[in-house]
Amino acid sequence: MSDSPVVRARNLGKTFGKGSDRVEALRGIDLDIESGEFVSLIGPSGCGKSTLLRLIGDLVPASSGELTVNGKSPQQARLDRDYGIVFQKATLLDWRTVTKNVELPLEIMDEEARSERAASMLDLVQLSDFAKHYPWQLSGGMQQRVAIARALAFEPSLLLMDEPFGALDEMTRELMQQEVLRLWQQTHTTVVFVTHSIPEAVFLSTRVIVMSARPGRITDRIETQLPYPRTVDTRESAAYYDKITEVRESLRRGDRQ
Amino acid sequence: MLSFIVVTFVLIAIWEGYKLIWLQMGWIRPVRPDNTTMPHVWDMIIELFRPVRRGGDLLILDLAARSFFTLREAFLGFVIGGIFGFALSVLFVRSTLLERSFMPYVVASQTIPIIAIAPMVVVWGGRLDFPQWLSVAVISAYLTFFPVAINTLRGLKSPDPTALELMRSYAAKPREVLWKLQVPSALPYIFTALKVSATASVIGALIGELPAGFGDGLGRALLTFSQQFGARSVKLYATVIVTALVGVIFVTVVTLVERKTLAAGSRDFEVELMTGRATG
Amino acid sequence: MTDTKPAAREATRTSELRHRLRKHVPAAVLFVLGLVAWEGLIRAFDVESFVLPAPSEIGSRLVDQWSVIMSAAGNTMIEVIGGLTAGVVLGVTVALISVRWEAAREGILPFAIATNAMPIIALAPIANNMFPVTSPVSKMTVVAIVVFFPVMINTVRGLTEVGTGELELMRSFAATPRELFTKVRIPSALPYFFSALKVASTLSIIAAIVAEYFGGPQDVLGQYIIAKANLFVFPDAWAAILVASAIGIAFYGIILGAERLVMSWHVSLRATEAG
Repeated sequence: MSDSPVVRARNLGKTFGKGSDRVEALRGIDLDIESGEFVSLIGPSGCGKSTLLRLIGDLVPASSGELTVNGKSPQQARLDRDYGIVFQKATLLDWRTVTKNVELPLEIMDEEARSERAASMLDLVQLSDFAKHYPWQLSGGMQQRVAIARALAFEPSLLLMDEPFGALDEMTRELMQQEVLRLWQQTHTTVVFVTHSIPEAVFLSTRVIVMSARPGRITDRIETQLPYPRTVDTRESAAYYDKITEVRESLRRGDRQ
Repeated sequence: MLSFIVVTFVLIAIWEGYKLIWLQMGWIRPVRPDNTTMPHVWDMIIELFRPVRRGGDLLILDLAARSFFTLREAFLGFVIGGIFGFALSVLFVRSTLLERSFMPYVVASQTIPIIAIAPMVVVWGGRLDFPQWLSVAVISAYLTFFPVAINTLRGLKSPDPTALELMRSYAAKPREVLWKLQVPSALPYIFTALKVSATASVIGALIGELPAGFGDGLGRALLTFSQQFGARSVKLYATVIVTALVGVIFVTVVTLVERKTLAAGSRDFEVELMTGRATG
Repeated sequence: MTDTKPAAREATRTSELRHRLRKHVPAAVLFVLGLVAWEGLIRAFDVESFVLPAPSEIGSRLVDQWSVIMSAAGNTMIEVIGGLTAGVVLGVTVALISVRWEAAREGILPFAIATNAMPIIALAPIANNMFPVTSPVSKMTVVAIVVFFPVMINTVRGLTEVGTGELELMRSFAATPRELFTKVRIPSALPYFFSALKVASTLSIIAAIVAEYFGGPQDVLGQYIIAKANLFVFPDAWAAILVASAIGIAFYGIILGAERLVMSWHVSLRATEAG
């Protein structure tokens, strides 16, 4: 079991709508994501990267092909609470304090010792001082950190992130990237990360999956091969720039095909 | 539309079913199932095609004339109230001081039971030599202006701040900002308000007719038939049905105008305005 | 813009106070000015009291008629509270049912919207004759029907208008429908419920007084106002109108307070912080 990939997709396809409204969002996706990997899905809008994430998370059903998560159907994986998810919007519940928001999944899973768990998660995302605040009292970046704490609260083996920093300003964004890498290394979670930012994908990932639109498909897989821990120095290294160039050219090639 | 018809038939079935079961069981609570208190639905409809009084018009013709009369008052009240409400909201959006000074009273005005001041309004109208139906229209306007004022204000305030800044960068005059930006953005809000106001204007006209002391409208018919309830309960029920239809027709007309005016309808606002969320 | 500054909840008390003053002073000033102008105009032009009585006259009549008006107001309040409670309970119940069963919603909602377009006042004479004329139940029925629609429609709206993000989030937790309901749907419906309640509170008094107009016991505000108006004793009628309006405003205020208590987290109540 431990040898099998966390995510395994074979000839996966997804079509929305019927008749003339039919849109083929994904075609022929073959993908293995190993335990402990940090994989980014990148591509132009309409390439189906979010859809692929949603298929893995069982938020939408696949139309064709095979998909397993931890060797199970995505639905079973969802019912087993195998993954946590973070959207572009923090989607915190307005009427709950930061702590209560982090406790939400634990309540649903009938976890004991919720407050201890929530407190340690808030400690992990460095928001302990704001435990009793309401979401509206936090900045966008802080809200997103709460959302991440919530997703990790029940120690899922897989973390799905759908453009989680898309709405943040550049400075906050870089801080959050550092933060996510730290969490990833501390928790040994497998991460699937959707983004449209090339530097972000390169900085974070062990592997970048390049996708292309009409129909959505995988056109390239690039190992970043940059050493961890990645820091500000990484961002200034030549190797980093080379990788960014490589991904950019790959995206351009994919687009022309 | 189909579900509406279905629900109508379900309601009729409940009404008749209640009568049937309660009669069988001899129950009289909460409501007596006899033909005076709860006439058969078909009797209400048949009554529409009987003369109002011996040798008089058919009830339906009489009620049609009354509906027309009440609708005229309501429509006039709708127009007066609509213009007044719109003007208020423009003033309020121009001046925060005016808004803060008057808004609480605009809200408080709606807690005054209109039926209680209706007689006074009729007296005032009389002083000014208004015909009584005009006084009734004023009463109707009192109920109509409120949703329009509240919702239009929200609509006028709805444009994005950047859109206002853009207008400023063009050195647009306040009037141009109002007509080119604020009013178009407010249109969905205004139509939502107008639908509420349409019902409100009919209610206002009905209430205004009660103390006005003339017998041409539906309000008076409701009062007369309710006082002669025993023998004529079917007439009262028939009148209530016609009155309900008048309200629905008015709202339907406003909805049709809205569809013509706004390419993409404002369905989202419909419920909101209807329940007066704006007051919150 | 930075990641460190939470919204300024710790805004100093004094600035909040100043903000509140600035917000409410104009209305208070207008109130005093309006009252003075009203009194002055009535005296200056010697307006007869059946046209419009001066505030001082209304005030003195209110003092004079206090016990009669209060007794009438008490009876009207019973109708209002009974009808309001019934209407709210019924509205929320039907909303919950129609959200639970989508088929029910498909049928009920358009009907409710159409029914709301009807002048419900027209039902007053019917309700009056369905129930014993001396019982307040007939008035309560009218109030309940008037209250029912806004409460039900708004509650349905609040319960169903939950963002896809929240729905997907709960799905990812494999939450049961029941958990989705109690943890997400009901809290998100609260703001809608309260705004319906605010409308309902003022509507309920007006509806009760209209229902009273169509007959019944004499010791109620509606009948008091009509009797006085018929006798052209308008200052007394105005005094009772004032009381009715005050009850409406008080109800509104109570609900506003309850809303603040229950939903301190909600956007609409954060205004003072932003100032």
